Amino acid sequence: MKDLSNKADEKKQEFLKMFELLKSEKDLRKLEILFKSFLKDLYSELKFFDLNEKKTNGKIINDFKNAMQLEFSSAYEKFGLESETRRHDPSIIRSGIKFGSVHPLIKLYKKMEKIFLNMGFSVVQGPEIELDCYNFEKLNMPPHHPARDMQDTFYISSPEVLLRSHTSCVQIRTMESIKPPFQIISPGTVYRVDDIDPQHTPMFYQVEGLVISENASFANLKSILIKLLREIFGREIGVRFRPSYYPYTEPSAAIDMSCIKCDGQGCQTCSGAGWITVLGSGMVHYKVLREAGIDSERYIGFAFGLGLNRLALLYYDLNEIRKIYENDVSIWRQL
Amino acid sequence: MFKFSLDWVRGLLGEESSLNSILDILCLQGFEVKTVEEINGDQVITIEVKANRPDILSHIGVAREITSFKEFADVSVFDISSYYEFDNTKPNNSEFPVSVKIEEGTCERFSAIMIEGIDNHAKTPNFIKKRLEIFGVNSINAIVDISNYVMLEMGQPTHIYDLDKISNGEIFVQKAKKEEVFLTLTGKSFEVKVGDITIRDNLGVICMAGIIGSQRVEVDEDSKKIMIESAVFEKTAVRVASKRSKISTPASFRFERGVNAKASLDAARILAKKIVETCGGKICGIFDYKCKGLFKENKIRIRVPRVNLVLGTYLIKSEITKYIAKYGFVCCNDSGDALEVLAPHFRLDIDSEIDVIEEVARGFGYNRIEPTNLLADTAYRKNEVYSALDTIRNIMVGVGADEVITYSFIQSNAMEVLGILPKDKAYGDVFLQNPISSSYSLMRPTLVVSLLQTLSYNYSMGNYDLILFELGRTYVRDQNYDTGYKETDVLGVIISGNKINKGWGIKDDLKFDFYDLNDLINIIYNEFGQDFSVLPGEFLFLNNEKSALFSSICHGFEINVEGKYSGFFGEINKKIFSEIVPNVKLIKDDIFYCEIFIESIKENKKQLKFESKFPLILRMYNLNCPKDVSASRITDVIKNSADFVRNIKIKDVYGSEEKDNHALLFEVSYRLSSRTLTTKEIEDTEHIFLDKLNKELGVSVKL
Repeated sequence: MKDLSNKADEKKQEFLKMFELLKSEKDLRKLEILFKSFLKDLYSELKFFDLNEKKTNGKIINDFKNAMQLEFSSAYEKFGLESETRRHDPSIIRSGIKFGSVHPLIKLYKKMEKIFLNMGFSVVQGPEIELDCYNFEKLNMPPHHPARDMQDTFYISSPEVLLRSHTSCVQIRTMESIKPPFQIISPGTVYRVDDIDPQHTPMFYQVEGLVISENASFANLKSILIKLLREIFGREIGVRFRPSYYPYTEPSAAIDMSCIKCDGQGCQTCSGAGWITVLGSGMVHYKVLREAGIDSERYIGFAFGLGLNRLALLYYDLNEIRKIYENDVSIWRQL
Repeated sequence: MFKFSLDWVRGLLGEESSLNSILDILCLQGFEVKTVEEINGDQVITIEVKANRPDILSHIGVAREITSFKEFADVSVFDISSYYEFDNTKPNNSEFPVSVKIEEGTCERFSAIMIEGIDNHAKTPNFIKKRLEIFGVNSINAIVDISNYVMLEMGQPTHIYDLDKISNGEIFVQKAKKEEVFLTLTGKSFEVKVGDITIRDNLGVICMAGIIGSQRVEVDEDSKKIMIESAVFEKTAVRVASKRSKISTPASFRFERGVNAKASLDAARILAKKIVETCGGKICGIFDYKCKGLFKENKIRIRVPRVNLVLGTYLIKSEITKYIAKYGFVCCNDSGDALEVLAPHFRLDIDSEIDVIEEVARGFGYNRIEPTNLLADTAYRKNEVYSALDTIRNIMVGVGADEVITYSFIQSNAMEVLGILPKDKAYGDVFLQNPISSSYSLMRPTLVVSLLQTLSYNYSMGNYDLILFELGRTYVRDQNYDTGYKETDVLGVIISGNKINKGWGIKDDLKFDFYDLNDLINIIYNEFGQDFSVLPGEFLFLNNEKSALFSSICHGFEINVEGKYSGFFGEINKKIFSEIVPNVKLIKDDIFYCEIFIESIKENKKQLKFESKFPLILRMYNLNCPKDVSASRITDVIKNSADFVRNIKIKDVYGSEEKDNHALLFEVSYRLSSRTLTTKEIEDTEHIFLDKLNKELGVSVKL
């Protein structure tokens, strides 16, 4: 039977002598390279043996390897080093692996969506190019209703086809297509005529919600919106509901949040009021339910909506709303 | 918006409420305070008055609302009759010296008072002048000033005619039957359209109802005989004419929203009294037209359980009565679980149970309603599109791409510049009728323009080497949709610059290229377990492609899923785009673009398959191959040569531009599930496919 033990032993003696002659860490590293290449040679010889021989010789090589590694460890110790030492500098950032970024509006929306999904809401969407009847008429805003002034609308072909000025149209479409009870949010882009300047854009992202059931109440509406705002802006913020008016809800409420910049003390952001209006909401008007074919005596609903862009300014502490659509991605990457 | 004077309101309230307490009350009652300015020692407060509460567009209205908020409030003090003293003489239409003929449907009420022998040289009382000044209303003459004052106090717009200037003592209130033009008080011409409500005499229009009067019958300092008009016109007609003519006056603003017709005659009487006090003269006739049912009581039934169901409260009947009494509601019938209440005459917005429930909530206080958890048994509906968008967004961020959101409207001439014709796939002609400018005018049929703009903007900001993506919508005409337009959710990706920068042992920058884009499309469809095929494109804004896949030259490629056009990709033709995106010249590297329609994406269930335990054998083949033979054909030949061919990867493509051939380096893996493959088996297979490749495709092993 062929045997590698002599070869290994010889080499071992040779190496041990060399250990005694080591003068520096550099010598040690050189020796380690020699050892590794010899070890590789030994292993490569294995393939010429038959199975039995492989077993015996494999053990010989391993023993040799273990013995030598012990010697190396103690030699390293002698030079005050751990074995296998590397020279890495973590203060160097190569940026070789790239990770992308999500648009800040979407990032904030996703945070919000998660809260709603956990509360049992479903996400629905609908067209941005809408019919007047879905954007206004079925929302209790017949032609010439003064409330239409609040939403300066883009038209594709007037008076019938327009760019939706809110996502409430999706709620109407949902009410017409599925049976209550349901809880939905309808996120999406909406449009209102506005020039592009630091504080205005002709397009923004809106998130609206709608709950229709036999027992949905104003008290439930309050509970959901308080939860939403506190989840996003923190447990400690104040939330205030005050009467407001939308043609499609009654009673209607505007929801104010204590100013997060000044903690309600009054500052530029909140125009000294200490409060910032962030949401509109209310109990769905019975005329809207009826228009959508829902029995307004049996079912009650509430709805709410918010403009994500303004909320994003607050959330990220930005000062220019138009920057949201400029997309300087080096800024997005800060998130 | 309504501006009011704090002193004026305090005067009406008869007490010195502090500014802050008044602001708080208004805010919590639903009237957002916009500004507070100090003018001439008074505070002028601007509040937002929503369309449902026109009764607040007056100082009395504001005073009423403030009173309501106080404990033990009594708003009846603001009943005009108890607030003012005035001559209560009954109107007598037949004895009215002017003949007034009113067409039905033009107004709810038309009250008029005639005064003779006045002297309009008289000075406007000082306190009136001062108060008007605060609102920036110029003093014109005593009569006009007093009528403006009454409107600000009571909310009833009035108009005054110089009767000596009216032809033949006849006045008609009617819808215009033909188009005509008249000169308004401000000296501008007004174009009357058919159907507009006008007040006229025999000579023509003397007033656009509820908007503005004519110069011809204007009251001046020499006026002796006047007629006060205190009317409530049909609001839609006023709104339509005001919008169309772009003339909005304090009167039209109020009429559009609604004016309390029940108080119109009293307002005329109060105005007449004030005019006579200042200018002398004598009332010589009162006219009053009322539409049917004007003074019908506004009684509404409310159910106590319904109130509590809607609000989520536990209020009892007496509490409900108490809260709405603050706003002037009177309970007139009490039976079982229901109440019948009488709404105050000045509230034009109350006509159903829910309107009263809102008042209960306001009276109780929105903040006192206790939040409770919703218990609704609603089914969750998965949104396939949103879930696909989420998956794609995760992939994109994972490969290092940055998400952008751009405007949905692009330059009006985009299609012409990019050479996209109506027959082409990326064509769109959905234009806004009222765009903010021609640069934001066409609803985009593709995201390519927006993304290229964003890419070049980022280059100008010093952000290079980018993969940008947008999950946005495109818009085209399509009669299959109820709106007449089809909107498609799409993924747009634009790539340019270096994939790997030189350094760290790499000698040259490695650029993003076509194959990175192609990889990305494959990654996305693979994630959803979908196959797609590629067809030649005709997108003139993409560069020419002489692809081995197709016999002729094409412009970019189409993505096809299950026989349906599902997107496109290729290399941007910078020359064509430079006209519409001038900054594109900043980008020296090639730019690649792809667009994938989300509707083509359907999540297929994928299954895991564990490989056999027998070893995988890898072999490399360097093949010399004519450039017009596509790699997919070679792959097919290899794949079909034996069952145990597992995987085929193309590890490299190289060769010079000029030559007709290039080299493809293939890595093929072989494995059987039942045993280890022998070298001979593999060599036999190699022979089969190499032979076939040579004979059929002219592909040979490179030596």
